[in-house]
Amino acid sequence: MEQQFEHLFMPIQLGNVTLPNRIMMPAHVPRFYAPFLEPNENHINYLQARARGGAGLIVTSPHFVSWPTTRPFHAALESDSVIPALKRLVDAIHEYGTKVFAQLTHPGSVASSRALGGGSIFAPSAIPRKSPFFPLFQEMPREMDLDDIKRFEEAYAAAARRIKEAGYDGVEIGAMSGVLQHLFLSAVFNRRTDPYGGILENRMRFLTETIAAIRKAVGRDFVVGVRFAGDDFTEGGLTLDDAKEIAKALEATGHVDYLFTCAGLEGSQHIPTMYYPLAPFVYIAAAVKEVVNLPVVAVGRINDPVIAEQILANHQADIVAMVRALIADPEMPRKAREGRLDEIRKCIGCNEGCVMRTWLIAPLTCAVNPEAGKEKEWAIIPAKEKKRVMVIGGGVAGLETARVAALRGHKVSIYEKEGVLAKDLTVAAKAPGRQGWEDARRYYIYQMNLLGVDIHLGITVTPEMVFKENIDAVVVATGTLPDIPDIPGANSPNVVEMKQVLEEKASVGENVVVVALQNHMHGLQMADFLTEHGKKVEMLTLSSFAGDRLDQQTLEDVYTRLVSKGAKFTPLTGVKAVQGSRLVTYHVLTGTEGVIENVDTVVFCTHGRPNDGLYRSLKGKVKELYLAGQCASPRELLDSVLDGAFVGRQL
Amino acid sequence: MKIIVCVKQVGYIYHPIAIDSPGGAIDPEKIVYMLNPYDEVAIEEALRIKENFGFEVIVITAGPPKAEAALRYAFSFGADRMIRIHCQSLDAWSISLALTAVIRNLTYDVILCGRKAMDTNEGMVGSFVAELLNISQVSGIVGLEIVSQKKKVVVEKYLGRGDREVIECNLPALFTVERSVNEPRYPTVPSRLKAEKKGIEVIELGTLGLRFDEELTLSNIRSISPPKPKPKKVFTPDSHLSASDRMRLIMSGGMAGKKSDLFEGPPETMANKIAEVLIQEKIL
Repeated sequence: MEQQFEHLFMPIQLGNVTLPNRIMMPAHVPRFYAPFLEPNENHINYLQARARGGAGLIVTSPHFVSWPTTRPFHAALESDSVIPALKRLVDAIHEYGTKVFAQLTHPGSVASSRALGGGSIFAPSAIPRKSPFFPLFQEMPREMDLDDIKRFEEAYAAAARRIKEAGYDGVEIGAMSGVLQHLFLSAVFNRRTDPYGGILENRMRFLTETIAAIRKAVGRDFVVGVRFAGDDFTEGGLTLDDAKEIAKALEATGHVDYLFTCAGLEGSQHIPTMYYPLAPFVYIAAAVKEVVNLPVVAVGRINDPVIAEQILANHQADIVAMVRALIADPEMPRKAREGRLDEIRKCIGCNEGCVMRTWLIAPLTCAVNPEAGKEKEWAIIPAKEKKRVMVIGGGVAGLETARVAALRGHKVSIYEKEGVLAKDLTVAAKAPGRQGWEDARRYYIYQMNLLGVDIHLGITVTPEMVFKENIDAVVVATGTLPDIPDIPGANSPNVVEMKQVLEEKASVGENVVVVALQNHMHGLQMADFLTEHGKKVEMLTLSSFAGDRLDQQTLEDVYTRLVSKGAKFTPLTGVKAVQGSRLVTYHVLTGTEGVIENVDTVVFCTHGRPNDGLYRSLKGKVKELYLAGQCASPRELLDSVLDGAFVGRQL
Repeated sequence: MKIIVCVKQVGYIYHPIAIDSPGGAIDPEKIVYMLNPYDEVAIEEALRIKENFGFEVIVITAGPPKAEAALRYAFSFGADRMIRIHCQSLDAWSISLALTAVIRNLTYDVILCGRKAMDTNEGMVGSFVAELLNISQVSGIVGLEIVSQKKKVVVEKYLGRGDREVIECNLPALFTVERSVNEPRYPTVPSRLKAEKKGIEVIELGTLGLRFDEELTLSNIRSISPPKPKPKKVFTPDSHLSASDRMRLIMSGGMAGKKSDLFEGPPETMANKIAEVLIQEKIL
């Protein structure tokens, strides 16, 4: 099968290091440990799983070269005492022939002095970052003076030396997504008038001096790469033309062994969501590749080895970086090599488990791969006692339970009342830009067939049916029922529920009010769906903005869509009554009533009611009973999957 | 009247090749050989002249034994003699010295060569040979006519933009031909078989009073490397567009149009509006 991926599995030389293939897991922040401390066991297991799965290169992160604020404190890389922990990490990855680099970075103004215990954060100019949806990183930084610049350059060099001593194969300098190096490069955040600001050459000075300092510290026999943004997508920021100049200048230093291009300064481009087409920023790598001879890495929503192979075959990049693809499936390289493409669990770009968690300073996981982050604790262990398991409910929670149980050796049968499995995913995928859910569905259905799970469709299970069956354990994963708040007028013909609209089972008029009572995707995707159909939409939400439980990137993308289509947002507002085409509202804080006239349709987007009737009837009457997913309490897809993963391991 | 046609066996340039590392030469295993297409035109022209006037046609090449395949192919058009000067692949000057040394001992009226070889693309041998023989030469002809038996030839050259230069030339003379001169015939199987049986006169370089191959060359190839592959074209938003426009183009895969403001109204108001916009955009 290797002929299908002849480019993907071709080794490549970077400096003095040979990578076994072209798949890279680039640096990212899983938050298994604080970025200024040393890597812990959890982090090592997580990365080692990706090495075992066949990635050619892993770049570890985060490695702050020095403490982020003016109040001196200890950052791990500032002292040699970090080397043993780094050595353990390096050895764990080298064990599988995978090469490992460390990304050296400094957060610049992507830091919160409050969270770090005080002081000022650093930046080239005293310009705070803007963050439309996330409150944490909007602090006013301190403008670095020449001593600070020199100190940081030395810190990079010292850190690089320690990285080399720990046995790493190379370092990568992070100059993207608004970290300190990027802030210097971008005129949006660099308004300096000294030699470190102004024309591009000046703005590059901090970077080129850092590279020279690192090269001096590590010598020629060590790979040094640079990851930089090829387009800021911000007015006044770097564009592709600048990127080509930067690339040429970096090559001309003679110190750099590879270039890694990506996109974005503060926006969603850095971690493209489900709304982006696949591999949208490969053109940046291709453009840079035309002007330099150094190897170039491409990144950005490349979730499929077939796409990666295309990119390499088209000479658009030399190495393909696939972060979320490897978070979702650490075994992806091996499966590709062995031709088991259908078994690959693809990243769907929901950003739920990865970005959403880490931005909240919680450890990373994955909405489709609950083992991510728990490689050791949740390794699949065969069940001591093989049981006959009946899973009631063919949604994601039921599917994940069935998958894990079957992998562990149980005899599993799954019952679904609809004619297809995971109907909810199909319905969710009907919203514009949310087609990724179909990928998750495809994966689960394939797994059910692969693992020999008995599938029974179109069957609504009753307690009597359960008692008749000869089973050892029952898992109830029956999801939710649609729910509309019990307010006056809720039964009016022009009041509908979200799922009805998505399944096109309800007719919707011209002027629509969307009541977003579930502060995740429901209201927003409903508004998106309706505006796509040319409706005029006003969105009501009880919070200060709809969707406040979503990750930054998805919010940015869906709001951009809604704003460009003319949707109206009315926050901090609830619905009191529906009177024909008239909606009576109230302000959440003051209770003041308001009125919206000329409403043709009201769409309620709620959590739904847990459909746990069957569970209650079975409680105490079967040997082993479990509850999983939305029928326990309505939450997100990620939670259903985690429930399923947990229950599957309890059986 | 005698016509000599100089031919060369070339590597087919559209077949993938491998570079013999470290950058020394093209891997001989991978080359597909053929008669230089320009030389095909030359031999075809020679044969047309032969068919009209009954002249003798000699085909000559300078190269290693495997070049005989191309020689035989050229011969199968209907030539009368085949000569191969035995030598390795040499540079243009050396080849010209070798060819001249042999041609000097033959009688000839017209020498025809292809304008250039398809693999090396230099186009020098014809001119070098003519200089060495001290005869007239016209390169890159697109038409040739023998003016009866008057030892004169009229040839045409492109001047560009459809113009042609008409040149009258005394014989003996050498002409290098463009591909547009004629459409080479496809030799018949019997003629190919005849060419296989016909003997080739092989001449050693040494017998010509020429020394070892290396000492003859004026130029040598220092290195060959494969071309840097061009990345396949992919949609790239123009850097001069605004950031939000670039974003919209990316999100729609290149389909969304540029967002623009459309102003409508009577000419006076429109004129003011346009002036406003131009000032805003700092064009005025």
